[in-house]
Amino acid sequence: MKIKTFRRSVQGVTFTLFIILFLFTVYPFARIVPVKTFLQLDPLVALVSMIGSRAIIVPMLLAVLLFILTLIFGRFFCGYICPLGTLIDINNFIFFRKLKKKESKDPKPNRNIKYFILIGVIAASLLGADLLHFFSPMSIAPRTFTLILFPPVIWFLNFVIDLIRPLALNMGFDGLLQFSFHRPYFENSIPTLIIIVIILVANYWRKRFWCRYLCPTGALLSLVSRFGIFKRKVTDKCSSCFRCMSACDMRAIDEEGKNTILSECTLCGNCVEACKQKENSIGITSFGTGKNNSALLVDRRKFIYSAVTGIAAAATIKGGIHNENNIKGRFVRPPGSIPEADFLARCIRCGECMKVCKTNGLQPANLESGFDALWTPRLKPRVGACEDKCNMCGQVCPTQAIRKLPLEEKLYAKIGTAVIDRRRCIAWEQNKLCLICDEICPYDAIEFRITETFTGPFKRPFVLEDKCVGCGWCEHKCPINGRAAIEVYCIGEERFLKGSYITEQKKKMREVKETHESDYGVDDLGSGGEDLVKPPTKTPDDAGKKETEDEPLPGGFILDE
Amino acid sequence: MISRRQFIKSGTAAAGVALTSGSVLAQGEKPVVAVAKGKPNEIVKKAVDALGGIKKFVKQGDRVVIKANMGFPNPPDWSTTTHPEVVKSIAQLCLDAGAQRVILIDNPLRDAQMCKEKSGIGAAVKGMKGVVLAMLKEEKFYKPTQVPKAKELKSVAVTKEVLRANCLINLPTAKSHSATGVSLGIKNLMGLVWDRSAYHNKMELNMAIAEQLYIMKPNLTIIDCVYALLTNGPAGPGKTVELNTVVASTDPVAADSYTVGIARWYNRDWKGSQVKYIKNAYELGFGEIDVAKMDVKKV
Repeated sequence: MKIKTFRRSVQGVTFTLFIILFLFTVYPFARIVPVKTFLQLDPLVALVSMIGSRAIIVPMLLAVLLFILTLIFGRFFCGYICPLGTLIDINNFIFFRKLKKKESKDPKPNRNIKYFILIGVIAASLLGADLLHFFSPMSIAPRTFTLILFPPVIWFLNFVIDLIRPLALNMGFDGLLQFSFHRPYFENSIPTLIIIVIILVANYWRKRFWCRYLCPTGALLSLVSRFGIFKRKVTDKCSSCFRCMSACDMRAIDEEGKNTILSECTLCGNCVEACKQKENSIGITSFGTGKNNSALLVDRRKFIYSAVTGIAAAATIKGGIHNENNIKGRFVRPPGSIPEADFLARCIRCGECMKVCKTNGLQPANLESGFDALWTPRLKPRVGACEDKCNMCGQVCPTQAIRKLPLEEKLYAKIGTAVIDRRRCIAWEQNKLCLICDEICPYDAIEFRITETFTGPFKRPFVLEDKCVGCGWCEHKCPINGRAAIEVYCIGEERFLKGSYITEQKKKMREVKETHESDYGVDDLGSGGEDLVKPPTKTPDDAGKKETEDEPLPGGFILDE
Repeated sequence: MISRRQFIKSGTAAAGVALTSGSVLAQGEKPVVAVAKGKPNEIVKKAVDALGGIKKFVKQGDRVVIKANMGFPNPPDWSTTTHPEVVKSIAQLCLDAGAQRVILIDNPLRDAQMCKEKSGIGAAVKGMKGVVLAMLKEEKFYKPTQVPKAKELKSVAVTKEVLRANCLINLPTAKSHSATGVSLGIKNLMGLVWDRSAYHNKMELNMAIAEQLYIMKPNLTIIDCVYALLTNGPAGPGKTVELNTVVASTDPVAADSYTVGIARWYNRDWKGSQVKYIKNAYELGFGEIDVAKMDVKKV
């Protein structure tokens, strides 16, 4: 088999696998299917997230395997496995196949840019800032799939199903009467779209532009790939026709055509394909660097420049007002998120948690939070609340920025507290018989009390902050248009690096009490919506009617029957 | 607003008409209310048989819509959802009677897949041929419908399937409710509606609930009281009691009114006429509210 065919097949298999794992990133399969495998492979992600958060992240140790394999076989990852690389190849095959662009002999611009980025990213991580999400293919590829490709595909499928639904129902296929995919929406997907468009369009100018010039993961792998056992061999009969050089996606062949820049070679086999004399072949040679092989490496001055740039970038991010605000608490984070500073350093913004989120409530943070928290997951209850019996976000997080909590723990992990805006709440302001927040609350954290305001006594909601975990169902279902009248803020959130969220006190709070002890009596009961016409200070008709039992009553009953 | 309320309260023209139509019903036969006690998988058949058997309601080749309460991902013993055994037995009865299709419908408050899974209903009806479990969470499954006779519920979007069905069976669970007191049959019909928040913020809730009967009066109401949630409804967790009972009737008001009396909601005794939405439904002439005027068959 030709090397190129072999590579295409391997790429096809790995890309399909990537998509299958992506599609399986859904409740409940994410618990059993190893959906984050691709993300765990990236040694740069592993390195940066571990340095950034100063911790050993056990699931990321799988990346060591790729590092070792690269040491043995060379930079095969870029040519054979990387999903972003394959996406670029597919794009080039479709759009730029017929483009006959001659590679200039001079490999400009300088491909050392990617080393600067690598050094910058690592330097920034030393200061606890994560720049990976702009540069790591393992952050960009899954995020692109989640935010950019997935929603339109689902929309289109639903569109097709809606078209055939009437026909199918008339033919008796009633299974289709309710079938519709849960449609995902994502905020702030435009910056990710811009990045991926630039990555793809830049191939017009140079093939695999991203991989050649920018990708820091490739740069890291290239540091060790030159020791690999597979190398391009050139025989003496070479006429220096430079066909191989033009064919090489990575421009890994030097000006003379005989030497291979090993750090760049992804073993793609294009050179073998292109060789007029069929004298190139990638075969096993001895270990070590030979005479005909060279490598790119940044010089000391540039090394220092890049490190300084990275540190400057980190300082800009970390020293800004946004960082201060983020650490103080701005967003409602998914349950099990580690403390914010560590969270920001660890989260690679891959978007897996947003993909897996059942209710679509996890949304990427946008630039209002600065570059510091850009694309980090936050719960937006207006879009979707946190389903109490789902713990998928922690299961899929490759760097464990969201802890892998058992369901029992997750039920107690407080991510925030609901706050009622009394001026917007229709039970508070308009004496309307609305109790949706109470009805929906999975934790029974909303209590209705008869309260006297300017509009008279009425049943009005209160949040029991000890019971509330901030899941956001109340905010999601609040019937007020626009902003909800009850909103979740990260007040009282619990962010632990390790340890349990369950305490005896919390357990006690959740117990169902035999008799309801509360601070209002039955004779305070407003008779529901009919109080609307009552003069402001008048008490309800049934006020003063003594009841022996102490169970508080909702509206809806008529007491003087 | 004010004049309408007083209009209803003072029992003038419209209410008078409503009352007479109610009394027309009452003059005829007493509505039969079947109360069956026993194992969850047996009581439904017993109750339906006491009403004259399922064949009376479901004919060969019918499309049957069952509005079960599947709105919460809670276990059956919380009594926030209909007991899976009850759902299964009524679905099986309909199939045995020759129903072409049995469609279990709800518009769940919480995530549909979770509700299906955790309530046990998904597993209970799995593999039953002809049964479709439909959690309709998108507007396209609903059809805007005008209700000319209604005072509050002028227009509402209801499930297309209900409008298409030959038979509607209402299968609520008995539970307390923080806005309406108790949530039984008529209240359960809210799960066939798309925009429920309008009931709270645009209409008078208890009247709107009663007026639903204008457009979707169930042919049969079976109230699952295997467990009843006495406090903290509708989402629970609250105090529950195991009654192992179902209450069935063709009269939606009678079924609800009778069920109010079988448990001590909020640790107190109540009559059906003390629940506003049931009283409203009675006044609109949809059925009998007085237990003394019902033919109660205990089986």
